[in-house]
Amino acid sequence: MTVDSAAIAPKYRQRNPLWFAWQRFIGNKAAIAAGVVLAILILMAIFAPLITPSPPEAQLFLTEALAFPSAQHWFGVDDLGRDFYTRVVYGARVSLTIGFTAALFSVLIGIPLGALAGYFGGKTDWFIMRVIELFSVVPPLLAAMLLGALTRGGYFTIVLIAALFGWVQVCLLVRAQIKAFREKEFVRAAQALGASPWYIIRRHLIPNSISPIIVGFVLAIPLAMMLEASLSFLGIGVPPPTPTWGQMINEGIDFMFFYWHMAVFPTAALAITVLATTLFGDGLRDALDPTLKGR
Amino acid sequence: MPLVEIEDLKVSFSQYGGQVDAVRGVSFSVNEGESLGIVGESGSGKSVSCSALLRLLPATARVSAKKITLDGIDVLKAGKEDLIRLRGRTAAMIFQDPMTAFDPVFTIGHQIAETIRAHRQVSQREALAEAEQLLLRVEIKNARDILGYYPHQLSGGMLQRAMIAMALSCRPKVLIADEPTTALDVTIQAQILQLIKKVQAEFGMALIMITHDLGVIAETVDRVLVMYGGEVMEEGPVQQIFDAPRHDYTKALLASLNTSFDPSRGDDTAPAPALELRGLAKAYRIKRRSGFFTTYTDFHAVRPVDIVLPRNSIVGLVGESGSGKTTTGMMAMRLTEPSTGQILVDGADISGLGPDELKSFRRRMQIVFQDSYSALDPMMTLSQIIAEPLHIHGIGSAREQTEKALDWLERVGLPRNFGSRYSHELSGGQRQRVAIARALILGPSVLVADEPTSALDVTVKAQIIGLLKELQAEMGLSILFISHDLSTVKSLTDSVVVMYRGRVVEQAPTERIFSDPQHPYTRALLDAIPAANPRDKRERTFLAAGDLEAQTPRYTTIQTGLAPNATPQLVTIAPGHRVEAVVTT
Repeated sequence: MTVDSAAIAPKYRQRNPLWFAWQRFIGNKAAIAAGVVLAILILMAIFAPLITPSPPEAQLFLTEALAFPSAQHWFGVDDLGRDFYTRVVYGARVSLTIGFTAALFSVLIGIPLGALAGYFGGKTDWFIMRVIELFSVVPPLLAAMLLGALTRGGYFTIVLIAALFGWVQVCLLVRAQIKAFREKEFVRAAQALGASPWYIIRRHLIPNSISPIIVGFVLAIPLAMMLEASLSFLGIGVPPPTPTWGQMINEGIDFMFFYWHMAVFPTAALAITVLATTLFGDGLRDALDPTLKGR
Repeated sequence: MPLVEIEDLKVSFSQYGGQVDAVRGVSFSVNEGESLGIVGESGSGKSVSCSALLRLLPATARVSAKKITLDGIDVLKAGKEDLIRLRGRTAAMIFQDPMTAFDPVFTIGHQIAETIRAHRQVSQREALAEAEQLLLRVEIKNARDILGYYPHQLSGGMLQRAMIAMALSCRPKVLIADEPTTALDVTIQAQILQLIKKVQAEFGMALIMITHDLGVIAETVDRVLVMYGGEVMEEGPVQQIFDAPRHDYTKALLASLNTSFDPSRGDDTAPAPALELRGLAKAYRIKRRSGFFTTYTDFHAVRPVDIVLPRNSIVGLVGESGSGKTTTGMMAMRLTEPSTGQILVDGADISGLGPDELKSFRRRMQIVFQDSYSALDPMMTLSQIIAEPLHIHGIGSAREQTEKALDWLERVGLPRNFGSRYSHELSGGQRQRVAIARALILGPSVLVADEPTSALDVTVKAQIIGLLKELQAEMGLSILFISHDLSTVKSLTDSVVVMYRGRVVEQAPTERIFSDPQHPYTRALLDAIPAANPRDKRERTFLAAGDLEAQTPRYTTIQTGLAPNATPQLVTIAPGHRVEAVVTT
C-alpha cells in the first residue's frame, strides 16, 4: 500500500527498484516473522557460550542422566549427562553452517551451469545434462559414504557432498526457466542492441529466474541438514561429541518412547529452521519479482 | 418475441477484495435471423456480456439483470438441464483462437461427433457421418480425411472452419462469434467472414458478432452496438453508424479506420540506401527419419530476395503468415543468420561481421516486435528498459542514462513518473510505446517494425502508427514496416513489397500497387481488405494456390528485354514497379 501511494504521489521521485522490493518485502508479515526467527537462530548459534549454562561436551550431570525438562535443565539432560538445551544451541552452529554453505554452493554451481545449458543449448546442454544424469543415478548416500571413507569424514566432506548433489536440482530449475525465457522478445531486443550472451544471461535471464533459484536454495538447506544427520548416524559425519541436530535426532530415536525430550527438541529445532527459511525465501521471491501480487 | 433479450445487465468481478465493474447496465435484443455486431476495444465488456448470456463466466463474477432471456428461457434461473439445452442447441459460440479451442489429443471428427452425441441420441457412426456433412457445408473439400486429422495438422483457417462446423452441429438458433477472425490472415479472414454469412443464411440463424474491427462489422452485420467501458455508447443500423455516428467514441473509432499521413520526404542525395538486402535467403534443414536412415531436405523459408530501403522513407513488407516476411526482417537485423546473401547498411556489408564489429552497426538499426508483452523484461522498470541500449553501448553515466530514458518516455507520450513502473502495469499500447522508445534512444537510421500494431485495438493502433510516423519524420528514419494489415500499410508506407511463399512477387510504390496490382496474389490480398463502409461490401471469389500459379502474369521478351524462361522471375514493368512473371517469346 505504501508503494502505491508513493507511485501516485504528485511530487515525482525516481525510486530505486530495490526500494520497491523492500516495500513489498515488509508488506509480507509471514516473511518478516520468519526473518526474525532466522536471525534469532543465527544469533543464538553465534553467541552460544553466553546463553548456555555449561560447555556442550561436559558430562556435568551424570547423576541426572535422562532427566526430563525442568527449570534447571530446560530441555532435560541426555543419556550421557549433558545439558540438552546447551547441546541443541551448539548443534545450531554445525547444522546451520552446513545447511547454508551447502545451499550456497549448490546455487553457485547450479546457476552458471543451468544458465549455460539453457541459453546455449546444443552440445553444451547435452554435456551438462549427461553430467546431471551421472549425479542423479548415483545414490547420494553411497557416494557420501565412499567419499567420507576416503577423507575420513568431517565437516568439509559433508558440505562438499551436499553441494555436489544439491546443485543438480538448482541447475535443472534454472535451465528450464532460462530455456523458456530465451525465446522471449526482450532477449531478442537485447541481441539486436548488440548485447553479449553473458550480458543477457546476467541482466535478463538470471533476474527472471529468481524464483526457481530461491526455491532451489530453500530446498537445498534441509537436504544438506538431513544428509549430515544420516552421515553422522553412520559414523562418517561430524564425529561425536560435537553436537549436531542430525546426530541428536538419530540418538533420540532410540529413546523416543521413554524419554521424548531426546527426539522432540532437535527435531523441533530443525523443523523451525526449515519452516523459517522457506517462509523467508517465499517472501524474498515475492519481493524480488515485481509481477507477483501486483505491488 | 426476440430470441435474445438482455435488459440492464450488470457484471462485476471481485478481485483482491475490490470490485471491478466489467459491464454496467447493458441492454440489447436480437431477433431471429438478425445479425448484431458488438464493437468496442478490449476491456469494454463485449465478450463478458455474451459469456453472461450462456452463463460461461467464472465463479468470481457477479451477474445481475432485470431480464436476460435466451429463446424464452430465463438464463439466470436456468437449471442444469436447461443450460445444456441453451449451450449448443439454442446458442453456439465460435472463439478467437481456433488453435486453443480444440483439444489437441482428439481428432476433429471425434470432437464434432462428441458434440452431436452430447445433445442427441445417435450412434458414433451416424454422428461421424453428420460431422462429415457439416464439414462439407463449411466448404472443407476433403472432409472425410479431415475427420481423422488432429488439430495441429490443420491451418488456422481450416480449424476455424471446423470450429464453425462444430458450432453448427446442433442447429443453434443464435451463433455467437467472439472475434472469429482476429488471429487469422487477411485473405483467410475474408473467406471466414463470407462463410459465416453464408451458413447464417442457410441455417436461418441469428448472429452476434463480437469484434474490435469495424471492417468486420461493415462486412457482416445489420445492426451495431458500440460499447465502451462496460456501457453501450450507441446502437443503430450499420449504415447509420458508419454514415452518421452520433457518439464521440464512435466517431473516434471511425476516424481511426481512415487515417492517412503525408508521404515521407525521402532523400535522393544520399550515396547509398539506408538498408539494402541482396539475394538474402534462408533455408532450414529438415531431418526426416525413416527406419535407420535419416534424410535431409531443405525448407526454403525465404528464397533470395532483393529489397531496397531508401533513406527517410517507409517500405511495407506484406504477406500472409508463413510467407517469410518476419524471417526477412530478422535476417536484416542479423538476428537470424541468413543462408546466403548480403545485408548492406549505408553501403557497408554486415552479413559477415562478427559480434564485436557488428555492435557498432547495431546502433544504426533497431527493431520493434509484435508482442509488446514479451518484448519488455518483466523484472526491469521502464526507465531501466529504455536506458538499456545506452547501458549496453556504455553511453553516459548511470544518472545521464536514466535522465535520457525519462526524456524519451515523455517523447513517446508517457508521463515521466512511469519511469519506476514495471511493464505489467501498462496496457498493450503503452508497452509498445516503451518498446519504440528503447529502439529509438540510440538514434538509429533504420527501424524494422515487425507487425508492431497487430496485437492492438483499433484506436490504440492508430495512435501507435501516428507516433511512428511522427518520429520517422522528426528523425529521418527509414522504416521497414512488416505487416499483414493492408489498410495500415496503405496509409503509412511509401512503397510496398509483397511476399508470397518466401518469394517477392511484386514491389511498387504504394499508390501504384493499390491502384494497379499486377500479380494475382497481390490482387487477392487487396480484394480481401474488409470494407471501410457497409455500402462497399461485396461478394468475393477466392483463388486457390493452383489458380494463383496459373494466373501468373506473362510478358514477352520484347516487353521486358529478357530471355524467355518458364520459371517465373521478377520483371520490371514500370519505374519502381517489379512483378514476378513468366517471360515468353
